[in-house]
Amino acid sequence: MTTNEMKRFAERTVRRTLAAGAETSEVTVLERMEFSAEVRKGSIEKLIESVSSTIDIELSIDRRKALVSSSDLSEESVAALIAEGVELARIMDRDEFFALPDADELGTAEGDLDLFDPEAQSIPTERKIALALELERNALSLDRRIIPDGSSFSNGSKTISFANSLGFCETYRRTSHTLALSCAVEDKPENGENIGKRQSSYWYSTAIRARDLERIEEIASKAVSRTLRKIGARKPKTCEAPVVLDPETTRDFLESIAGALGGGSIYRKSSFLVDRMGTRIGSPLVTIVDDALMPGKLGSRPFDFEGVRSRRNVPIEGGILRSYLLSSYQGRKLGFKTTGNAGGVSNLYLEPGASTPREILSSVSQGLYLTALSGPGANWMTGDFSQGAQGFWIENGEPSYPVDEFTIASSFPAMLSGIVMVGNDLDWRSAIAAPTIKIERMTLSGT
Amino acid sequence: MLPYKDHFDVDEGTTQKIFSFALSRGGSFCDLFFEHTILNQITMEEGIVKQGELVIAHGMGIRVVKGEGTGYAYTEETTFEKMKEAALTASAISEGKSNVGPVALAGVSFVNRYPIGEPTTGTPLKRKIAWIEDAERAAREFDPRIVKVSVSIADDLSAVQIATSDGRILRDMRPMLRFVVNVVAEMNGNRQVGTSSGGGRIGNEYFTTRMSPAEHGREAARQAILLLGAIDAPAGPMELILSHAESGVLLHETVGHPLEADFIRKGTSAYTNRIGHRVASDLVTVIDNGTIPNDRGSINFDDEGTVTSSTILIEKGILRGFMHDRISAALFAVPPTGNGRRESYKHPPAPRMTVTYLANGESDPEEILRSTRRGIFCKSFRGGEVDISNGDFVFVPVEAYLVENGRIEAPVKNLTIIGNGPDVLSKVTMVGNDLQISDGRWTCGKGQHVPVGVGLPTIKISEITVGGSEIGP
Repeated sequence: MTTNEMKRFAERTVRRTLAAGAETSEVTVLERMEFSAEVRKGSIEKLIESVSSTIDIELSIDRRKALVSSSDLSEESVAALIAEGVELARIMDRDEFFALPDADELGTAEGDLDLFDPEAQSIPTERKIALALELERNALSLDRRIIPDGSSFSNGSKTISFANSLGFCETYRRTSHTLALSCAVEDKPENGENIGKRQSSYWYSTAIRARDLERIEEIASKAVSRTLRKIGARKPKTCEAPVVLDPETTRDFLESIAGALGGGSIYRKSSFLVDRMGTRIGSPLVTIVDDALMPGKLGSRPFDFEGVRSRRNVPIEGGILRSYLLSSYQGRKLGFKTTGNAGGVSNLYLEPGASTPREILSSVSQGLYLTALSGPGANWMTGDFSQGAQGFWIENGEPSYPVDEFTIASSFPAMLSGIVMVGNDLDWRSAIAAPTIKIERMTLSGT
Repeated sequence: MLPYKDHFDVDEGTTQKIFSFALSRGGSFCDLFFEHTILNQITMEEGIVKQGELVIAHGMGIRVVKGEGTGYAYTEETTFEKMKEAALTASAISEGKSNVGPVALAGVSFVNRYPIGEPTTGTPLKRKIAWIEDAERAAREFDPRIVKVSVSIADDLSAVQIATSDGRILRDMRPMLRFVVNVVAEMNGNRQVGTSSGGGRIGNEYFTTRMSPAEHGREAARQAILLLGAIDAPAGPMELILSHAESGVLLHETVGHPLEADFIRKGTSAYTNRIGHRVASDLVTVIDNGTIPNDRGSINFDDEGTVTSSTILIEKGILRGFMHDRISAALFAVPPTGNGRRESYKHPPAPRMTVTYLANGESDPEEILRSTRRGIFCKSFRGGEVDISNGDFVFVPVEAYLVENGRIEAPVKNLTIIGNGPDVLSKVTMVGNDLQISDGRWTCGKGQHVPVGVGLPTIKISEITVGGSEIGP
């Protein structure tokens, strides 16, 4: 479908839903083009290319709500879907907080958010495969010990059309491009035990425009050096120590904070930030911004999943909790206005500080440089934090040897208050962006 | 109820033509995967039945294989023109030219592993709502400190048809039931969550033969209340006792993933070239079995048409085999094991687990507990993760206790347990005689989400790193 056809389809579906007996209707039509070429050892491992569509219809009758969706967009199938939805809604309980957003909240952000690369569709398949092959070749040429584990180029586009029964009907498109490389290396301990152990790592670059991707040489050399530096990793001692989180692990931490800030977690009392509005929840260095209006960023959008005009929010300012991230429903439940966060965060980032990553590392005489976290032990519902970890032991301001097979533990409140340095190296490869940070003290469990 | 498409309107002639387009550039094998899935879900929250959901996924995917390479394309419009287009797109994995004549298709016989008493899909909504209300009431009445309860019931029914260029055609109807209760307990600003969930490829008889809605409600509430009184877990190496059933998560992470043969053929798994070697204590026998009746992880045949079987991965500590899809099986010249699975028609298959468990040992579970001086006893889990290449894995208990001198003491919270697969499996010093498969609640997220099962008898690991926040004396 063209974007205009999609828009008309969404609008028509809203009308059909109302005609079938619904009192409110919200329709999202999504069309997605995806391509990915993964190569390994000079041959294509996987080539995937497709276009797919889905329709989501949220409807209500007397504040009773149903949600129906389908990948089959044919007229008769959508008609049957609507009929099911209406029947389903009638049997639900009345939710007094349910309503569409206020009409004056609906709208599209002004200006061009620069979310679409017109060249995305015109890159020939051969060129995409060649890029993946070149990335792998580059990595293999750097060190002969490298075991390749897949080099890929992927890109895609999405067209999103949204219409509701208040007369809102808008559409936008976004593209993304990714180059990624994973590799491994054998890691034989000197005592000969544990044969077969390997170390692995990766690097990737993601951007809306293909031309904004990191250079192939950069991606290859980062993936290779991140892999080689793990050789000989040992288990650290159980202790308390200062911890420097690299941008990737800070990002994981921020993702949990984003979950805890979500209005759904708050009204369900499933967040450590319940009842903390207006109070200090972190060190003065902690300012967290959610900004949907940044041109060219992966999380930008002109309106949220219910058509509310996008904006910039500052949920945590100088360590004080200023707002949650809310849809109109969540806002109504909690006594606030929507923040334009139906569907979750947009571009959520920790405001960068003044220190370089080097300065942050230099400030630590003995401590941990954390480069990977694993497992589901970051429990932002209760505030507990205990995760598997990998990284480097810092001695006199320098990462001195790799460490693995240990955990780090603390709690979200203690970690947020314990942030004593924030780096200037914000990493924008995803919609949640983070710099290097230093946390005063955490518990390491190892030997 | 929507009219249910239990077959796809594709005749043998059309299938043969699509095969010839798919293989027109020299691919050595292709398959067509058709899927029509209906998912129903009802959620109760804050005492009201808040949302009803219906999701329909309809489409087909075409895979063309050439050596270790896969070309894949899918379409939601199962018309001849769209399927031809997808076939030509997928054919590009090979760059030659080839003329493939018509392939005669024949059915394959298999045993139905999920006989259903009374299908959940199609059950009147009023009845489903009554179950939800039972669970909600039971959770709320368990203790006044329970402040939030949410309950959902989800059932899906997936019609699947697979046609392969080596002449097989298979059709299946795959049911799935999932019932989940989440609660929050609150006391003096201390807030804890509890969860109970279960189901499988089973019908409404689940609630009468396995676990009732009210039992799920009480179980979730019990867990949250227990955690209100839990102390922070210790940090450091200690003994670990894993209770039966759910602790199979350990196995899924430690050996399950690293024995999936895609990691083996790529040489990234720590178990590459280790067949016939000792990789665990001689008490350890590990099996992946997709034929367990009505289990969440079972399938009649996998998503590339191989009839499911039971595979011995480790026998008395010796590595015996891997879990294969067609590509890895061909490469290693072994029969496929029925582990080629996919999330949906949008995904090509990859080696995945079905139901993975440890065979029974001889110890009495009580004796395992009594023999423990200082350690942690784990009963249930949030999940885990593994680094395939270095073998390090983590898993996160929900219900766990300190054990001192053979006795269960205080419940503990906020801990991740970490170990190295081969190292930990060599430290399995006792295996109980109480093997049980966990209730159906696990979904594995290796790139694609697929439902899996896990199981374990009670076992003891002589030493592992417990990652709490409290450093002892």
